[in-house]
Amino acid sequence: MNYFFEGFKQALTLLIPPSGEIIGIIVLSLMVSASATVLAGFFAIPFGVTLAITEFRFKRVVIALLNTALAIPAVLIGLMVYIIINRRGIMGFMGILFSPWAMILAQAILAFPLITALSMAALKGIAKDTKDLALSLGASRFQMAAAVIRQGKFAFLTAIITGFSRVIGETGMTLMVGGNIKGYTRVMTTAISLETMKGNFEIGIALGLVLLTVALLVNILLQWLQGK
Amino acid sequence: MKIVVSNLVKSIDRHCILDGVDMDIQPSAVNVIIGPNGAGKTTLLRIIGLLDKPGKGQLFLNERRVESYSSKELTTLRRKIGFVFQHPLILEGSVYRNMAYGLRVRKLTIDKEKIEAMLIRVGLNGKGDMEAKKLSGGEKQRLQLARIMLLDTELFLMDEPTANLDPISTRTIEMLVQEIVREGKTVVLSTHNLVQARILGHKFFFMKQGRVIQEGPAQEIFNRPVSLDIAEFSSAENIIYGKIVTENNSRSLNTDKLRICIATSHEDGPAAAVIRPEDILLSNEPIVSSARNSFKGRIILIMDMGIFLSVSIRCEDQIFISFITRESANMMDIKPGQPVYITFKSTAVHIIKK
Repeated sequence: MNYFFEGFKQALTLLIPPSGEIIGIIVLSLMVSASATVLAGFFAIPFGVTLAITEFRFKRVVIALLNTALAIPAVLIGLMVYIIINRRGIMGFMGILFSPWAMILAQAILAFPLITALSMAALKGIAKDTKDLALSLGASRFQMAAAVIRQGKFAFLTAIITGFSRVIGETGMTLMVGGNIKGYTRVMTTAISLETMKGNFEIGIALGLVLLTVALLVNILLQWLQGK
Repeated sequence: MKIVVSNLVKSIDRHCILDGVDMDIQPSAVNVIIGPNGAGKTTLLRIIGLLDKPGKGQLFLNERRVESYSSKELTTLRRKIGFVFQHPLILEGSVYRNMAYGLRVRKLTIDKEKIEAMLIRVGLNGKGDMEAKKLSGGEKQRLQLARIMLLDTELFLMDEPTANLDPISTRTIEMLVQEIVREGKTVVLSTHNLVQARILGHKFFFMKQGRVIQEGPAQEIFNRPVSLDIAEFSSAENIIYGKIVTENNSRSLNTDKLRICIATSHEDGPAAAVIRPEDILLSNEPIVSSARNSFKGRIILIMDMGIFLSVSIRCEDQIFISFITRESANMMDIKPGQPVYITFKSTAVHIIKK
């Protein structure tokens, strides 16, 4: 166990004060995952709202597909994105494989069904009543949708945060499309994975502590929002 | 607003809720929909309120099918309709925000004094800044009504507005409904409360299993019910089950022990007779009159109903209820256990064929 305490001690010296490389990794991780979550939320929330308040023909099919998407393993999404963006893929011309853009794209795809499903589920309870209430008081369809969104604002934040904590912890997929390139696409999870393999526990432990802190902060935020 | 419902059929999740409803709503009056739970009252109100789409059949608003209105026209139309939900739906935020919402979506000026005056009218004075969700059930229901009264809608749809309310809120709402109608508005109200229905209603619709089985003024529904369901639901005091028999040109409804003379065009066979308690005469001695039905019985119960007494009399295998005034009761000096005679005309017996 000695090497662990040694590693832990060294990890703390790496973090206080943090080295330039570690800061770079942390900042990139947060930037990539935050961008991916925002991108996913941009599409997922309107989609979730639509599913919650409108009735259409194949709604059940769409919801079944959405639930299936929730269960897709992240590596499979990584593979799919890889196929699309590698040089021979349909989006190969963009040349974004092994770049932060590729990681953002993959993480956004991973977060999309989660944020959609969470927004929809959270709205389900309040959407029908808010819809009835707004329509009965003379709201147009657009005003009704606005009322539902306003009523569900905390639900959306909760969905976004859950999406963020899902993607920031993602390793395999991020490694596949990002490539773990030092100083360019190396994020916390891929760095931990690599450094552990190399036997450099102290860097792994240091980054692990940072990830834990992020997870803790996110959960405190969630608790607070759910109490709202 | 003119509302006509014609052969409306609505299924939700393959479950038939409305099964061919026909309805002609009387304008500037209180239209009361009564009927047991699951009769389709709420669904019908929601369709009239343009909250749900009609399935098959037609809903005409101002003599046009609703399907022929554009989405924009529907919003305009919906703005003339107010809806009071059975379980009050309240917006997040203050009572004031709830009151202002309808004005805001209509892009009307929000007149704080007018809102305050309306809150006073429904007895919510001084509660404008309160968190609306913290109001009591009765206050929430009054807020729902105040919210649409402020919008001056032409039609008020109210789904069991006083179910589970305290007596004060119930009375306030009943009073407001009467005021609304006096202003020339049309009200469609569903209720389980028959006393309330009779106090407020002008036209009645009795619904059962997704259909309107009888409509008309109170006297018709309650005194001449077309079906036993209505008689039983409206807890008619005297429902006597028996068989119609024709003997030597005289017709009667026979129970095991009684023979009640009737005047009916129904065929012979099992049937029920409904007799209004005010049509049953009580006397200490047998009386000679044109009334064909006179039975000897014994008083088993006297209930004080305030302005009159309800007297239950057992005659052979049946119990009859008669309403008499306090003066008559004093004059006759009636007591439980005392033998009396009951008398009623054959034309006072309303027959429902089973």
